[in-house]
Amino acid sequence: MAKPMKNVFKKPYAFGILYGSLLVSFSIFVLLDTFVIPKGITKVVEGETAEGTEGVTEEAAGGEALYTDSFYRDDKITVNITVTREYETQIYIADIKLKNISLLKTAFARNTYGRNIKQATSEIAEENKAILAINGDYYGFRDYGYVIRNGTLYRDNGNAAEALAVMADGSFQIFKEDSVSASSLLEEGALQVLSFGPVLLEDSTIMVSEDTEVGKAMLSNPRTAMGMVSPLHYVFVVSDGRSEESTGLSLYQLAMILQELDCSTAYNLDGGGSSTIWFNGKVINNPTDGRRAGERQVSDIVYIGY
Amino acid sequence: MTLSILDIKDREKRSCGNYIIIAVCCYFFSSIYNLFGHGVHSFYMDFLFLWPLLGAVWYLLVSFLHKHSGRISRNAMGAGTATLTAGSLLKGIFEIAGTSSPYEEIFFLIGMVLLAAGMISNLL
Repeated sequence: MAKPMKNVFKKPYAFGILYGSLLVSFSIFVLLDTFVIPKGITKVVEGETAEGTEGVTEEAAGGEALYTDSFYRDDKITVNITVTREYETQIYIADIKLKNISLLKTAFARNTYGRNIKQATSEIAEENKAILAINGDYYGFRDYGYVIRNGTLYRDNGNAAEALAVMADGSFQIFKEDSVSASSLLEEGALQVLSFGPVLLEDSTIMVSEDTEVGKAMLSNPRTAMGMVSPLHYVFVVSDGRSEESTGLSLYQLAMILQELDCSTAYNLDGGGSSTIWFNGKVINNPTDGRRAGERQVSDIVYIGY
Repeated sequence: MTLSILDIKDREKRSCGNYIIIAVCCYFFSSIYNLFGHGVHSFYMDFLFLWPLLGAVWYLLVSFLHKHSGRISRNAMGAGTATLTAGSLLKGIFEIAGTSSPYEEIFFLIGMVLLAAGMISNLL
């Protein structure tokens, strides 16, 4: 047994072919494990709600709704969509006023928490009967970053990044994941925690410089961000980019737009090909990854709905 | 004392040349990959070519030292370089995509052990 093994090591090509095959096979497995194979699956329990948010049901929905292509209003929710053009880019702004923080929700692709579980923003929004939806932080593409959604803790494996917590009183709180535990955040009343970044505005001050970028990416990109004007008054901003019609925004430009919209706190979410805004049953921006047009499948969405 | 490139033994010269070709291929691959990365760069992708280049430099050094590289040492060197290059390639892909894998370290660990084994056995 030992002799043939030794011979493999001595033959000019046998070892190379054997080892090369093993290396290629293992590399393919690692690629599939990272990008394709779903894992760590937890089905979201139907009707799972955060403490203090129970009782918001279809019956409790805010009465008769006025719904147009750029406007929604009922007794509890007002959404106003405006489309502007700045920095050679089409920008979609949703101004949102809520009566209750439980109306700002998040949802997972296929209603399931886990890595590599993906679905288009529009499909997740439709399945959750959303009124307005944007893509979230694509938590399922990474093994780190707190995940608290609708008052339930799914991942407490943090990193040094700054994350955004939507608190039970409707305020946005910025925190460093290495300085506060996910469970203590939950105890303090965090309903949603999104971990992408960077922080764009804090105390109405721009927190990014003109050359700040996510992972040394190009300065102009499609973007998704959410900001708080005051508790229960929020802004979702999505921009097109990487196309002939729209260059895209830098993080600094995005922060300036959110500052002009009177946001005190604002946070950057997953952008690029993921950037999608869905309203009144359709995607209203032009999602593209720069190579092909259309929605990219994502792990999660942030939405307004009952 | 002056040593000419002509003094390099044929086998080492061939190995050195092969590793340089692989390094050039890696350089072109990472350059092309970067063209489609929307400006996102990774150190591991940008310097992918360094592992095979290290192999080329090693064989150049070995030939100057008049050391004989046996089959086992050459296999270990080749396997180590290939593993480290594959590890760097995958880490580069993951960093550009904005993700990571717990398996990354395995490539670097095994690659370094094989590379060190190849170098040590070459010098013995």
